[in-house]
Amino acid sequence: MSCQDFLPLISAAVDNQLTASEYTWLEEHLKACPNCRNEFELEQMTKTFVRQRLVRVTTPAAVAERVRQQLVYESSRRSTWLERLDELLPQPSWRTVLATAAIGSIVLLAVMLFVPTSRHSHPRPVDNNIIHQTYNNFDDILEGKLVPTVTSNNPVEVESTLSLNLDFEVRVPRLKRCTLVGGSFTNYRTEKIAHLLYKYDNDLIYLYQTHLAAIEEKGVLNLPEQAMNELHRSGRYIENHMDDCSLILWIEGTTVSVAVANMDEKTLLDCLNDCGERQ
Amino acid sequence: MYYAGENLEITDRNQLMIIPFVLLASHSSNRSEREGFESEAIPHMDLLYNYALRLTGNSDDADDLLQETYLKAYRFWAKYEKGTNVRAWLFRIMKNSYINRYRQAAKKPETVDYEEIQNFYNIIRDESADPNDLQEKIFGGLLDDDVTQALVTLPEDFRTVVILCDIEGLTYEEIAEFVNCPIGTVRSRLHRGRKMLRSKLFDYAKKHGYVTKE
Repeated sequence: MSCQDFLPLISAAVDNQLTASEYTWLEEHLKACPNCRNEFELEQMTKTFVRQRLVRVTTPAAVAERVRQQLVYESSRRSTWLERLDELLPQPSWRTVLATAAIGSIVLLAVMLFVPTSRHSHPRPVDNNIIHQTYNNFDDILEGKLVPTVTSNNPVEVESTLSLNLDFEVRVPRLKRCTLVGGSFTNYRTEKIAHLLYKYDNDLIYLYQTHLAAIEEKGVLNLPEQAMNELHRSGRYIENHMDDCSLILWIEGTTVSVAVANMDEKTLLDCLNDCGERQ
Repeated sequence: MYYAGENLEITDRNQLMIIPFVLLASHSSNRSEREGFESEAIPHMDLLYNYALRLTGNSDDADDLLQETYLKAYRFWAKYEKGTNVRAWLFRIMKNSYINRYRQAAKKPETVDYEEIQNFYNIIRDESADPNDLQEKIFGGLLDDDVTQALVTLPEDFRTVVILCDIEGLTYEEIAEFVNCPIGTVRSRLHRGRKMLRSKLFDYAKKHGYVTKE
């Protein structure tokens, strides 16, 4: 063994992290080798020097407080029902998602955040939250793995195809500055829900529509009281979570619609302008 | 306000599969999640702060790095495997955040200027300098800030082990777990790191005129 080989041992010796046999071995060498002895002392000196000069501090109170406040803020942000996509992480399995137990009433909330492909690479759910599983689907949509049942930019075509499968009169609104991408439907218990997808620049707008009865008293979907009140009062309910995430709920005739988009409420409202007026 | 609920039945994958329901955990469960996170993560704040301070070399950046680390950790909390070493997990988040944000065009460990270190070693040998002399006379005049900045010039891997060992006093096992490398690597990095640091300190001392050639 050359002196080179002993050098890491010297470090470990300075830190008392040698095994007994390593220690003996090193000691033997140091007795015979002044260079390594010198190295040992130099290293010991460096350590002592650093310890003396760069003293461990406690976190300043203001800094600690800022951390706490930030966590509170983050936590309160999560209490709203939409979460930012950039918080999402690699996905759980479908099994964990489906295992989520229903806690309270079910809310008709279209929670879809569309991610412009340029911004996020792989947003994925992190917990058992269903909305996160939805985000999984977004990736698939953007990658082309999931396609609407009917892909067409003609509202009439989408309307007629969907109406065949739905028990209510689906209305595919024309949204300003948007291109219709297509539509689909899903079943929820006794209700059928139409899904409509629009493109707005690099963003997407998602629209759900279902029979008004679904959200009424005996309906299968329950809105929070606040939303219901607002809806009955003005025919609309708007929820804006952040600058880039909005939800708008409205009633038209015998249907209720929800639009969700990755944009601020003003922009979304503007796109939907024609819809509201038809009441 | 809103409650988590059942998902819709998932229809054929070829359809747009949006599950338009429920989503949120209620207010109170978010608070308890935060409290759970805090009880596990906050106790390690001093370690993290000190690491941030020594890694960045200044308190403003350290403050920012600490905030960013805790925020990320909180966001990723569900991903953390409960029961495993939370300190090491937090530490890794901080280190990665640092590398992503603050890293300058620092030398990679592999391309460290060994010649510089060897030369320094030779100087010391030739002068038969007493390490104590070195510490008192040559390094003694350096300001704390010089030492801080000297540390910052080390590549992160070397800087990290020196910080964790010499300032935080962690064992090699602990360091190995944090940094995710074998103990042998910890040993050699410490050795090289300290040597590099000495070399840097010597440079600073020279600049300040503490090194006299006799």
